[in-house]
Amino acid sequence: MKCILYKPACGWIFILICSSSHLFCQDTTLLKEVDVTAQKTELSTTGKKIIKLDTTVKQQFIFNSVGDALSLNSSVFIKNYGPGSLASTSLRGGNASQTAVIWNGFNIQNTMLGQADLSLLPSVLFENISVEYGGSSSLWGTGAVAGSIHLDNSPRFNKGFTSKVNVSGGSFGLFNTSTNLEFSKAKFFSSTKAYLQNSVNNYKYKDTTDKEQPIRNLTQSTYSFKGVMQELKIFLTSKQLLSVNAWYNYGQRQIPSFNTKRSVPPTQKDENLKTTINWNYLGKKYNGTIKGAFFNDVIIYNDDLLSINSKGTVRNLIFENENIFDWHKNNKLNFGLNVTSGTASSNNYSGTKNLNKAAFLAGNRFSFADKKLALYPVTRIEYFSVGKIQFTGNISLEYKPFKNITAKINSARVYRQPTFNELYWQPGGNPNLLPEQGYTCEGDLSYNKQINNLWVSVSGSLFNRVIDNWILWLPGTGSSPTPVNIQQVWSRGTETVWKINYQKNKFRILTNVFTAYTLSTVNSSSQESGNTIDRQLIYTPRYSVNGNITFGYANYSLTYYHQYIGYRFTASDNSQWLSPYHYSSLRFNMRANIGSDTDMILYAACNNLFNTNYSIVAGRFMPLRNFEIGISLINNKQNKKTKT
Amino acid sequence: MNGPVVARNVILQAQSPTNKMIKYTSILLLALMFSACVKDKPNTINAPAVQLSSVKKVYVINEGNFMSANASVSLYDPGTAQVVEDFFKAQNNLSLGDVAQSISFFNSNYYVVVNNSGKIVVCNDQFKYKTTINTGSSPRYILPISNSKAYVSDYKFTNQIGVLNLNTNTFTTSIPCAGWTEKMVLIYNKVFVTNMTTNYIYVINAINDTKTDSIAVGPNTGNILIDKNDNIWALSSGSLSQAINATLRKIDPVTNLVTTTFTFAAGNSPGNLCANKTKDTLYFLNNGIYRMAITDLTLPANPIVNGTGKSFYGLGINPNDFSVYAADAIDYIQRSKIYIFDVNGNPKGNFLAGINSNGFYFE
Repeated sequence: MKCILYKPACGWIFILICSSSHLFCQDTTLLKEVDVTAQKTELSTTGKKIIKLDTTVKQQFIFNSVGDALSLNSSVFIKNYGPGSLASTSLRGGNASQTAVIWNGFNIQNTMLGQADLSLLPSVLFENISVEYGGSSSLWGTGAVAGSIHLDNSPRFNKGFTSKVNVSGGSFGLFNTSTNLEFSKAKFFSSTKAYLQNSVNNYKYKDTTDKEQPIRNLTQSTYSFKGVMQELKIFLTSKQLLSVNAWYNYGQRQIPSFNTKRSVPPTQKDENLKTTINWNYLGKKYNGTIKGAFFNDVIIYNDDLLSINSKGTVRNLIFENENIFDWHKNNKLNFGLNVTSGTASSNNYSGTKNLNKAAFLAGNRFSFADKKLALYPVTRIEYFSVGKIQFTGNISLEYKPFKNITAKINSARVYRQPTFNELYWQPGGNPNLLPEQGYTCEGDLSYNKQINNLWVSVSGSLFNRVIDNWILWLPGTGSSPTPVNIQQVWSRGTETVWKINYQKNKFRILTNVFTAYTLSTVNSSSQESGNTIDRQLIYTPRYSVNGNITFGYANYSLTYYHQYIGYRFTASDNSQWLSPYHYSSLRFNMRANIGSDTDMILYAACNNLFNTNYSIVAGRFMPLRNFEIGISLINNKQNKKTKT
Repeated sequence: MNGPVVARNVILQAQSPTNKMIKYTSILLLALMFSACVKDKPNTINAPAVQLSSVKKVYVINEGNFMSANASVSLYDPGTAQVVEDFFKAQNNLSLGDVAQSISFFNSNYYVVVNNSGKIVVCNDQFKYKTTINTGSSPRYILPISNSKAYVSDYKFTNQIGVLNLNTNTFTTSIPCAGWTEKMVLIYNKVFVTNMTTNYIYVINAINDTKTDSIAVGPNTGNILIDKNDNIWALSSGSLSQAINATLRKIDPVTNLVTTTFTFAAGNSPGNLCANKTKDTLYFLNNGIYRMAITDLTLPANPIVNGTGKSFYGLGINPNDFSVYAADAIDYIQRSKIYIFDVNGNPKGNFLAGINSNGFYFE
């Protein structure tokens, strides 16, 4: 690897964040940020590395989940149990509970489980998908330990009526359709999105435990996801914006088993209702918002053969106030509060349980040196109805000494509150759990350069994080697992992002490479007999590389994706592991104008191009080569009179 | 207004040193980023060829993790204190399956019941793979009734005991038995079947395969054995949620009546009932390891091995030397540590087996 140091790459100085630069965005519409949440996100990303999926990627993954899209377009490791099955994150050595999933400023992690299932989040729903690397508990609260995934909807005012229909089909009985109907005037925006995905999911795989019949077809593994999202935004006055969002999702899936003779498979149903209402004041120097949300998440797990009929319901009522005050041309003050009331019930709890929290945060973004240097300290105090009051904070620094170079540093105290299940599950729940908490520090250096038709962006990151009171489920009374604060985990590593794009006339080549080297090891453990000290956490690959190259001509584009995921330990003493794998995907897009107001996009994909037999999770065999083909029709009728 | 101007001037003046600083910083960062010193491939333990002694071996059954297909059987040689960690794979170049529950040896064959794979793997006495019996269910334990017949208990899938023809390795019939059936014993042509989901032990006529009686014993009864006096001992783990205390019961297999009941303290959840070779001493787990003579009038007050800091998950008594084998599952997701104690609980040694070791078969 050393030779790399002395190659011309030496001249490229590394950046922290390269996300904001997307030279070849096909959709060049610049969205006016009309709400405070976006500005809060902007503040939170001061000093942070951000990876944002561009429009090319979004179009290519329009039929896939957020998990699928991030898996190939970032350095986030997606722990995917198979198509349609649970997909969770491992970011910078943290677990799924340590990555917040933020939808329009609200954390949508299931507070019973402490994580969000990314397979239930269709990427078609969100105009912006990005990953914020690094701890940010002071802004996003519990769970934003290793980073945050942001899923945002962006209104497009005054665009008239736009309808979009997407339909695709694929191997193993995959059928996917979605629509988006948008209507907007200068002061009004409405978007209605609906989606449906079904799959028989009966792919072939190789069962290494079966000597006589190793090649099998997955059975009893169907899944179906559907839902609808409605957004409404109205400017009440030129400075007041009222927004109402509602999102209903329903998922039903069979859980595949090793026992192929099982007459009835276990099933899981997910039902999620998320509604939000925002009132924004958009002043010249002051932006404020008052917003509320109601989330209702239901998970029903049925295994009739085992007489397991479990239903868990969690409801969260959230009130937030955010204020951003440009009190000086070089200073931006933000402060706000969050009050959340959570209620959960399950036949595994003894009665209904409540978790309430109230938080206040305040920060100020200072700019110096003609805005080349930004300093953003922010602090948060949070009351949690179980446990102690949490104090947390970030200090972020962003420095742009030259036009092409940006350096960023973020240091934070981070924490994750225990979940409902960890506190109250019977048997085993532990109401005396302490929050996981610790410190994180990360730095990034980036370099951007445009030379005629060539654009180069290189960035490198370092991170270091120590988390105490790490929660693990261990054998308890009667061998029932019980969660305990057991260990201290040290995560550190490096990441690089390489983007080289070339465009001349109608021809373009776009390349992206994301690398991650992650060590996440146990520093200390109060477990007497364990053998985990200095061992890598399970399902945390030390090495991962994602790369893609797009050849585009006019409205045609062909992208080759390649992913390498290194060894993943499956035992905490690192005595067992899964072998590395290479995964490839080829995706083709063609856009054509088929009418004065109508465009058509044809889409085709070949996944697992080289027919690799691999598992991301032990015992969950992934599909061999498979195909998808789809079409999108987009019709736009502009308003007769355009007012800006 | 002066502040930014001054700052800009400072930066401009310092541009040259800044350039150098950035250059060197960049090189340092590059070096750091590419000098990853931990190689990707894990260190494979090059276990020396195991030299097995003539001492009778110990087979450790390792469940592995649910849905991870990493069940295994470890072979331990007490003569050399050496271990073959995944003996089945070593002998057959094949993974065992998902959740190995139990192992039995009869008719010169090993029968490994692999619960979540819904199968029983049959191996010869050298542990070479012979065949697989697909149960179509969730099998737990196998009990030989004769050279040609065995019973298979089941985890709630079928609500029945499977009757297996050992000549054809097919199920010939079944005996209705509601709920999760667990360990079984055979005595006087009667099979006593424990049940985790009802409060009864069921009695089956082993000749005509019919259920003849039931014995009330309390919830979560999964452990059963026969002592030297041909009495049956059954351990009920109780129910924490129903506030029912655990019990140890002695049953007369002739009358099917409970003759003695020992009641544990509230909150106790004992399991893994075992007996020594002479069948006059009982052992069980209750966080620690406990021992009691079959003639004792009360439950033992103190363990012979304290379980603090350990997660005992499996227990077995070696009939060849009376030593006590206890498996510490630690955190469920790493190799179990097998502790060997003498009859008084004094440590004799330890070794590592597979993940979630739940029991032993002693040659």
